[in-house]
Amino acid sequence: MLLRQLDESRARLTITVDDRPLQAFAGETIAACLLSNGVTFTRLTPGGARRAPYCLMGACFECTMTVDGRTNVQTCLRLAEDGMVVERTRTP
Amino acid sequence: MARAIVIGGGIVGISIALGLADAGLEVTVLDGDDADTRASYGNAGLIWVQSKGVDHLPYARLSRWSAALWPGFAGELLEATGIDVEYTRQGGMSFCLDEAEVAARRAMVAKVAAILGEENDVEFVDGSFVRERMPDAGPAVLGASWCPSDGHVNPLLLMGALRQLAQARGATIITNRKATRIGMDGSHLTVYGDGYAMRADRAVVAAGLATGAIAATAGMTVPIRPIRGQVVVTERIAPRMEIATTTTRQARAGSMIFGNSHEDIATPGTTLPVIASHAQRAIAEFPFLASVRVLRSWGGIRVMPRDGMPVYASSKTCPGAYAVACHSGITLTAVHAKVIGAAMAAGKLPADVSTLTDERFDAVAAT
Amino acid sequence: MSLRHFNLAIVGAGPAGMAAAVEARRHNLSVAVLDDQPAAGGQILRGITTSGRPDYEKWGGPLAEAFESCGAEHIRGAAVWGREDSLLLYSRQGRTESIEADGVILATGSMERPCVVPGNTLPGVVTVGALQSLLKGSGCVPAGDFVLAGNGPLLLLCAVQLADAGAKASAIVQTTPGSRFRSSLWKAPGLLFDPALLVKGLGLMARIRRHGIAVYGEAGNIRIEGADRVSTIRFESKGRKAELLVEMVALHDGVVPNDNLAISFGAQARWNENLACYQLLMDSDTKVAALENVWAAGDMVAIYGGYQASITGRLAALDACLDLGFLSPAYYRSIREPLASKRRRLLVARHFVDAYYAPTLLPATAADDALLCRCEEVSVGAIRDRIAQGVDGTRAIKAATRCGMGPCQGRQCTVSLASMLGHDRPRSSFARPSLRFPARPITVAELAQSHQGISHTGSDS
Repeated sequence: MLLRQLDESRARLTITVDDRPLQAFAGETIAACLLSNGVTFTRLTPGGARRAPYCLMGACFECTMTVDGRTNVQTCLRLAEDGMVVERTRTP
Repeated sequence: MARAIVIGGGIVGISIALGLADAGLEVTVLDGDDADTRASYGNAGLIWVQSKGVDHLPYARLSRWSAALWPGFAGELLEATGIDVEYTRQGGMSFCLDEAEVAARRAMVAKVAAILGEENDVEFVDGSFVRERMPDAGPAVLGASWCPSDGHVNPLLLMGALRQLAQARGATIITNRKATRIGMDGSHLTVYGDGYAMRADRAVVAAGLATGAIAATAGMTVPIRPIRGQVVVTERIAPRMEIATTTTRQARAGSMIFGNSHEDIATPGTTLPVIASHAQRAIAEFPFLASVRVLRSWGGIRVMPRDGMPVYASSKTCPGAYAVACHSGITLTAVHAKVIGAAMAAGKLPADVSTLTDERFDAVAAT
Repeated sequence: MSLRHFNLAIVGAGPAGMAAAVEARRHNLSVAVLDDQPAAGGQILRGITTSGRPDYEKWGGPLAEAFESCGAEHIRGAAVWGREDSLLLYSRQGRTESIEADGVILATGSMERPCVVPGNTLPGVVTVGALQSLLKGSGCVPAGDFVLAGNGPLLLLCAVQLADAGAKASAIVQTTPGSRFRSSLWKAPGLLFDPALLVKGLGLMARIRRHGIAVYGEAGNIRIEGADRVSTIRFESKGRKAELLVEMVALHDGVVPNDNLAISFGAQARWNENLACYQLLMDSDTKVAALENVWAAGDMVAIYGGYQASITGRLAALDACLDLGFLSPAYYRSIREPLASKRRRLLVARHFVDAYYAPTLLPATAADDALLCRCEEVSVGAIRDRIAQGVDGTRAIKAATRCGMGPCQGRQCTVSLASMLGHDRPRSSFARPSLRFPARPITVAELAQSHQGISHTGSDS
């Protein structure tokens, strides 16, 4: 786990990341939830390198994933919602 | 050693410079600023012959000659510079989405067949042929013109490779040094710019949109009509398309490049109505594109000679001075580097381009 | 489809955008505020409207309250990607929508300067601002050992905020050169006129000591290492080599204007060698040059921080109100002048901060293997090779290397690349690379639906 949630009294919700259910807290972005749950990378570069959320403000596009079937969503800009399905976006 | 100056460091200028250097001349290329309007950075990278010279056999033949020289030239670039310019020749199509487009396309194909006779390599094919060759093509595609001689290249890598090769063959490229005029200093051919004058035995104007004005100072007539084309570029996706169409191709890196527009506008840039219509057509032609992400768009300016055909001008007032302008600098790269540059070094343009000199404009002006 | 029309659209709901909205509403303009975050606040006031978060800035709470009750329409999660005449286009949850606006105020703030350090793309490397965003927005802090490395006031501030929240950094690795304080004071004695700023800075240092966070000063040669994620940071500090085992490294080297949207609208920018970044060309302190009815405010014009941004936001709104015919010139002058003079007083100390915290992790001093373009994986060494071949200029380098052609659309490399140019001419003589539609990635389908379209197809190629 790279991150931990300070206020565990927040409402809990579940999202699915690459078929694995993860626990998130209300008000967290998807990216924060990933980093709090041991998901260490979000995408592969064309060269095959692993990348993870970096700027957390929408400027680096490292955190893009497929969310509810929509590809290339910036997960640092979207709040986690109960039942969300998140997958790694494949790049060549 | 005889000295040549090429005015313009784009694809056309460097291709000619390469030919001049290979012919043994000491070549200096005077280039403009990185930020200048440059068709070399704003083009689709097509090596395209099917629609060239529909009305004029020498142009049709010149284009096909260059396309035939391309495989060897791409190999030479790779060997000498290590840069793979992503040359590919799997054929090209121009799609028709309605009956009017089918009729126009059939008429074009008939014209090409008539002018080329036994050399003809273009045919009209129906939608099922298209989808067999290009499984990504959508049901809206009714048919296409098809030419196996067409191909494409990465123009950005080509620019870098040409520069490197020209430098390796002894040419000097000076950036940010604009030339404004060619004249005679006594009996010496001279190129003038802001605060300098350089003597030379050969001077070639290949300055894109600025060619007409500079060529005029040496008495050459090179009328150019700037035509903007807007293009949309997507993210990189897995390779799935080797055949290019007049609207769409996939670069080796995976980006899809689409859109083909013609506007009488000389300033780069894009407008929403045009790129939105590009996107609409792109989805009709290749439905899978709908979910692919667009990263950028750009508007490049074609250096279109007034009658659409290349101009190879030689100066009567300044012997040794030439000018080249063409809209299809990528297609003609190989013939410029392998044939035209050497001919200019020797001081005589080949008979193949005898109808493509600037005299055709003088004739029009006289009537 | 009838388009919704507003007198004024404001892009960005940070301090500048919120203040601009409040001011414009005061003068009865209809206002839409578009922001890509799920809530108002921008970066510095992130999460300000969420209940239960601590107040990091005294002025932030009242501003946010005024914004929420001002009657502006706040369109959340909206990534603005283009403007065509009065049409403003934005992507929201994968769909493109548009509004009509007579005028636009751009308040897109700043972003952290890319830190060109070997290993900067490993999972576990984030920016210091990212840690601050995670704390303020999501209520998350690093779970394991982490280091803050680099240069700038945010480094110390964030270390204190995290420690106060219970996440103490293993160390702060400060790359600010030791000689800088004296030389900066000499260059910009403004600090002496702003004792409050000096006290604030000293106060932060004292709190870092009280938290017991190790500080490595005058650091350089940073390398971040790890197989699939960060495991180690190596560096030199005051001539001695050091290495720390950590799970996260947060980098920071100051901030630069977030100008992509403005440039895509057609604004011009010029390289500022002192600040090592581009600056928008302006007709006045708020009017963007070369664009009709577009104003700009806050850090995207000049980096002066959140409070200043709230003042320039109001100034931009007033200027927009005047030009759009909502204020009489006399009344406009009577309210603008006091506000403008307040701003001038606050600028004095900034020059010291700029000089003292000038960037330290630029590619010029980076090892060849540091990545300059994250998206296309272009190293500093690859760019150096091109420059050595005489390729000078962003377009030529981009063409040769793909630097800047990836999904971040140049946000993470444009400034770094520009700082390497100009081996035989001033960097300021190179144009900033232009940007066109779309300023944010959108799907081809979104582009197709964004406009009815005009076809200009003609002959073949």
